[in-house]
Amino acid sequence: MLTAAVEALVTLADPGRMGLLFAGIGIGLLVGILPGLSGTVGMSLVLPFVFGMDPGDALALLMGMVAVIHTADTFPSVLLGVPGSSGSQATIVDGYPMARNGEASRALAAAFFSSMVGGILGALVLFLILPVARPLVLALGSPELFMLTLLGLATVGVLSGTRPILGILAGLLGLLIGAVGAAPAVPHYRYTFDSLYLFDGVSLPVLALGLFALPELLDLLIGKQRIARGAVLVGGWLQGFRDVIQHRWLVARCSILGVVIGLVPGLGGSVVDWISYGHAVQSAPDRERFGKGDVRGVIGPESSNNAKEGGTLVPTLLFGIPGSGTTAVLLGGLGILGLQAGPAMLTTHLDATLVIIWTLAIANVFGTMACLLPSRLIARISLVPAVRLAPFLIVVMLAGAYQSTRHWGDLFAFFAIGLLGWVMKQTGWPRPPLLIGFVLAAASERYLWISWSRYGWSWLLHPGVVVLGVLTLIFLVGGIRMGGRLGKTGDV
Amino acid sequence: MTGPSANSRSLGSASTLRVPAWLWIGLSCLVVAGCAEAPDLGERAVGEVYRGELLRIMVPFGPGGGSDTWARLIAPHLQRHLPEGARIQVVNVPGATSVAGANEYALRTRPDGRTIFVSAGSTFFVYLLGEPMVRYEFRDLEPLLASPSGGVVFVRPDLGVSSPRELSRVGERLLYGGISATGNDLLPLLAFEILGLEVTPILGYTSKGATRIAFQQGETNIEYQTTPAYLTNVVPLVEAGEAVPLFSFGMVDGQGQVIPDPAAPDLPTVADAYRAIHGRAPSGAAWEAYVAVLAAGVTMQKVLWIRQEAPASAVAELREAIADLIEDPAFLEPARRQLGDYPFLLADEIDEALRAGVGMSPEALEWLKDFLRERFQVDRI
Repeated sequence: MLTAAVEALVTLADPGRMGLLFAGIGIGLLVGILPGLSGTVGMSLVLPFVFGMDPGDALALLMGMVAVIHTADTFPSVLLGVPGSSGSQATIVDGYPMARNGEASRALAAAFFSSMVGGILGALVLFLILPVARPLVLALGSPELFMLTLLGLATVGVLSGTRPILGILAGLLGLLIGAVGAAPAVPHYRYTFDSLYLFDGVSLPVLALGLFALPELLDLLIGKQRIARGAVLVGGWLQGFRDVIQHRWLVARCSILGVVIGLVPGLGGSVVDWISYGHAVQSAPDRERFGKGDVRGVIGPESSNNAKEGGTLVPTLLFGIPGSGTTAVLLGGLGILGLQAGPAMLTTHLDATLVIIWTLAIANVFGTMACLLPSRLIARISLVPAVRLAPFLIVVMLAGAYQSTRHWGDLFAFFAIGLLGWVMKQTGWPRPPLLIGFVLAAASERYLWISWSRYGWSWLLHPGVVVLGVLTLIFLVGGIRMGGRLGKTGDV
Repeated sequence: MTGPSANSRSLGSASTLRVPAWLWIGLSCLVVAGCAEAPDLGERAVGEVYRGELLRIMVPFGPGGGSDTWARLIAPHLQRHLPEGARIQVVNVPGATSVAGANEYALRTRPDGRTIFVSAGSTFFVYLLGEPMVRYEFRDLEPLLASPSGGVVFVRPDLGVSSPRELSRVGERLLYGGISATGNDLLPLLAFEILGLEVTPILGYTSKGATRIAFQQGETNIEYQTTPAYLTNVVPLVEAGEAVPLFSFGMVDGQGQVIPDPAAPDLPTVADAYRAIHGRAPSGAAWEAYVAVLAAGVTMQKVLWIRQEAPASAVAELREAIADLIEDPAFLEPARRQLGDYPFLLADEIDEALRAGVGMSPEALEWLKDFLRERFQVDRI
């Protein structure tokens, strides 16, 4: 396999191919920066060019883009409190307060550096576990998947701040909003009021933008503030680098967490960043500054969200099950190239798989550099008064929201959820648990339904279920008890 | 996307705060809806209609799915067979398992020949079943090209069966994993019903990839995959002794007869399996419903349509280009690799299959609805 890996690197080193790799990186960075645009959009942008391309060229282009989306999406998360894509939601919790403290450069440098390390570690772990990944994935039945969604939901404990009951209620509200639309197994439609738009439920970008971005902007405008409270920026690149090196084990743990959760089919990457955030908080000896701008709250999610791209490729390549919208389109692209996902990706098409892994690692390095260089300059956005930033941001947000289904309902949903988010912010309700509940609503219902119709009560005794259940309890109780000792959660 | 953000430059510099939200909505509304009046294609001669024009293929699903890949496979090749300067763009309008896109195409696009539409099996199913949200009418659309895609049913070896006849004696141990009773799973569920198998359906999986994993895990033990997926992902399992193929769904020919699946010609069809189990040919309302659903879901798995009101010259030119397309080796080679070894169907053949599908007798339709209502709690139909 090592010889094959070297051969794949030689294949990739072709100048034309590297050119395409850089083109992919460029598109990925752009898509990541624009809030609400996800990898799916980027993929559909490049897919038309894939036809008739040499598979090596096409993979360089496609994977170059996939690899860096979660690098660039840190900009809006940190600077504006707007989730750049679904992978960088947890970064907001501490990244945005850091920007408000004038530490935008430090936060960005730490985020990019840990993203890069995470991305490379992710590619490496992917390479190492690929031969044994198949039985690993096959060991996870529907009951185990349901328990994993519960583990994700248990992070509400960590994210609830001082009043766990509010966090849990917000999480339940998220589950309820997630229940809008078609039920997973039966053609029953819930809370749709016969509107075709609601048949598919509320879309994630709309919810994330409305919940976090709009309230933030409103408050900045009302207070006539800028994002950084002080007039100067403190802390720079070097500080960010030093932070990552100081917390290297956190980076390593969260990267591995990212790959492992990423490879769980059906759960995908949507909760990776939250679980690593929870891990960063729980493993820290001092927790007072979390939520108010603790760099560890940036490093945790950022090192896992690039690593997870490696993980999600396992179900995508070996089983043909996409873990996210991005990988769904990637799967389509592979089909166009004549590569059918399946066991053959480890035998006949091993070369293509290795090119994918290399691209992932290389693109992470260059993507990070491309983000780091201008980051000092871009960090100055936090000094611009909100009044001047707002018109631009509102348009970007609206475009991002409208992009998700291109239905007018998106715009109305965006404002309705924005209002809800603003009220929650004003009254001190934690918003991340709502997002977690929403993201996991469909998956938890689906796997519970399947477990029940397949096994009755007996699934509760599966060994994996018991282990995951105990872990979930520890996570939940630990998080809630910790909440009591935490100060009031800062801006989020 | 380009519209609103391009707009931001001019409006952003104004930096006023007093722009109310409704104005923003209104502006983006104008940008999206604002489409310059284009010349009428109907006034051009065949062979000239699409010269320099943009033809949109509307796909009622998101990017990356089967219909999207199908459209994107065809688009660049079809473009070569249209007059010079013609461009084809794939547009995704996802939502409500293709109902949103189909409604939009039938009711809200201009019938000017500049937009064509891809339907999938599920677009037919909801239409056949009379889902209240369906506003489109297939009779108002002209079929241009159809592409079949069959399916193969297989079981886990631990059931100890090797033929449909043995399968009918397994009893209640059969577990089937599917997505939803009103989607593509309708076909296998009907097949099980007709063959008299006692199958426990476990619905709610996200995709046929997920059900295949469940099958490999032993969470289920009877499973189907579309023929291309069967050939790439299941044949290796069969060779490794981890799956036993039993029958294919078959295909519907012009006379409404079920014939073997051309991509899996050696396997018995559901009709053959019925004969093997019951000793006579299948008939009756249930069988009629099966054939209709088979025609809609398999024979016309993907169909390219154009609005009936579109200019006749545009339709004629598209038909000519498509007739060339399906003879073009540069297209057929990648198509065969991706879609399996199926013949493409042109308008006349599609019309025949359509009659078999859409023209189900009232008794068969009522039987089908009762089946779904009683067994799968489908209460909307």
